[in-house]
Amino acid sequence: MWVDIPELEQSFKRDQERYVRLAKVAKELLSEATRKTGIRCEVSSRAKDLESFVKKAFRKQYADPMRQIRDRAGVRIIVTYEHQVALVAKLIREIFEVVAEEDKHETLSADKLGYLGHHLDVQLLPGSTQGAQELEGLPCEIQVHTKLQNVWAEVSHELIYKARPSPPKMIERRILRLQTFVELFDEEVTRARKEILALPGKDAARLLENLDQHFYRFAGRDYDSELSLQILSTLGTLFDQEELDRIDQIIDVFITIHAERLQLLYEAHRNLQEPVELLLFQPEALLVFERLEHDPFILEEEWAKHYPPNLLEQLAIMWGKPYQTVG
Amino acid sequence: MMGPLIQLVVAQPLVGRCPPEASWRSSHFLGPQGGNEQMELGTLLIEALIVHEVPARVVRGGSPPPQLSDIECPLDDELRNFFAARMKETLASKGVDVAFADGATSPLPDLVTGLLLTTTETPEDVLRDRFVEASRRMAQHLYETQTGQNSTGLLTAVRGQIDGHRCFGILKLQKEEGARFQLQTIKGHQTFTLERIKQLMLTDSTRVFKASLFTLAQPGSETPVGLVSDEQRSHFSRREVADFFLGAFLGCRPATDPDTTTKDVFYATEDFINTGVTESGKKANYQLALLSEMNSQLGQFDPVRFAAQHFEIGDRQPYLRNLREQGLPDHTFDKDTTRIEGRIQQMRLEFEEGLKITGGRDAWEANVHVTEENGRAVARVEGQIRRVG
Repeated sequence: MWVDIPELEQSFKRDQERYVRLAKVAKELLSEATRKTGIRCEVSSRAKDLESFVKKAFRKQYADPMRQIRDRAGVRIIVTYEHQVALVAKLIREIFEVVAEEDKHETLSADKLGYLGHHLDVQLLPGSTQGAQELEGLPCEIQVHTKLQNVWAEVSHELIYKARPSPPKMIERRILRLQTFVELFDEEVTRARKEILALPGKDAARLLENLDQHFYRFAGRDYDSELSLQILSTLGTLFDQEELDRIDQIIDVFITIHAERLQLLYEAHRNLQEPVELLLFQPEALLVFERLEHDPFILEEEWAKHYPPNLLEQLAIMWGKPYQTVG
Repeated sequence: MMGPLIQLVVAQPLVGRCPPEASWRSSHFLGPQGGNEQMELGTLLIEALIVHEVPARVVRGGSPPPQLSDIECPLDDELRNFFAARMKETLASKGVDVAFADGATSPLPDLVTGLLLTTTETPEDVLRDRFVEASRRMAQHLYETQTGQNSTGLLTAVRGQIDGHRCFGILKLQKEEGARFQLQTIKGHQTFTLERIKQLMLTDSTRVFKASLFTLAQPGSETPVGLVSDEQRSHFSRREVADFFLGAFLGCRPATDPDTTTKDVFYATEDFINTGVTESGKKANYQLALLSEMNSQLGQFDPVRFAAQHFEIGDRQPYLRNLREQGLPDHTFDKDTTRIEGRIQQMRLEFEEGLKITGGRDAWEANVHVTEENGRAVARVEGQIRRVG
């Protein structure tokens, strides 16, 4: 039985404003949550428009499209590394009520074509979002992809659907090879990154790896990573080997103790038009603050050998610590 | 002709003299970490400020009246951060812990306490009106009490938050000769425009000459605590001028008795040198520096500056940590050596072997040299022997 399109249009329009709001609210919640946990990603959202909704209902021959179409509000999150997909999925489970979840890696058999990534059908948790009570219970689909999975999602849609119902074995095999390549690529990038960070002499890179997630949480913006590595190679010498071995712990403890203070500091400077303080919006500023608490004298002496003292002075003032130019 | 040269080679010496443990604990300090630690300056946020011009008083009359703003100055993030940074800078390095003085004639204690005790439910416009009115009374009070020795300046009152709690600050800003402070009229109200404040602060190099910041000792408390920095207070000379801002204007006193604090920090520093420093030459040099600092004309003692100037780098932070752990200030405080006057004139070196070397600072510096060789202290004393006995 075909759907009654004029009636469907009426029903769609009645709800559309709520779905537009839901897509916006879900995006805001996820942007905030990923930033606060230091997961660097792109978050986008959309509410399905009337035309694609009706076409989907018609194509799928849904008996009750208003209930069966679950992606009227949709959010897409694109991360850089494969291991971040699971981190984002975990975050989603914490801030939404998950109705259904599918990890394509687990559900798609090796000889089957399809796109990769993690999909979650969610609803707002009751009472979780101020002023959004009327959106509770509405479905929202969240897709979490790596960058390459996202490209594959676009391309494979074209290839797979055009090749259906039964593509020649040769073509199917070539598409499967591409799909395998996507998986291999993401896995190898993750592995290579891990191995590079474990190499001797990569202390600055390891420091940056840790600081990046905290920095993103407070500052929510990009930075000059070359400059970071340069300054961190100096700051790294302020730690002995025993401290470097547990540097993640040292940084985590410092950030935990001073989270509120850092939040205030970055909020106060986030909207400034001119970058008055050059290094505040660099991740290494967090390590400078940590060293200011630990031993400002040694920091100052080492800093002065490599960089202009006034840059450190600016950070010390912002951190509320006296800065000595003597000694 | 050179006199005799005496060289002593003995075990690690003790410098100075440590008093009995019980006598150098003070109950006057604000807390285990000192007042400055309680006020986390890094969390300071400026929400609003108001500026009044207070001209210099002419002794024989004829002074122009103060120009008082009617409303808060418009602020943007740049100026907000600028004022916060200047306050952090001056208070972190030169701020002295203060409390309101009992029986002060200044209206400031009541005005500031009243503002600090305003509940969080108070509507913003009510708080703003109270703040404007209080700041105008502060400016008028400054004008009426200052003498011909005080120069024209801008009295700036700020309100904001520190550590998430309400705070108020009072600054006196001073500009080089030729400054012109003119109020503008905005919708019938007199104030300084954002552009004018920016010009004064960012381009004309107006400097924060004196600064103060007050908040409640802890949430729920009714006791304000404060930090005050005043460049003039670091010198003993013309103390009546130096104390004008702190006492006559702010109605404050140092939070702890300067003579007790000075004594406690002196003995704690001496104890650190004896127990925390191992090398004999360093011990002697550090102790000499301590005596020298205590005898200097500076009206304040800043442990950070002292450590930076006289201690080797590895000893600086342990020294400050040591002060903090003993509940002593690791930042600037008013120096008063009354209770250690006799003690700070003499340098003493005491050896495990029962030998002692004692002398005035100048004689010591000129004639005694302490080093360490093979883990033993070597003291080289040069001079003319007056008598033996």
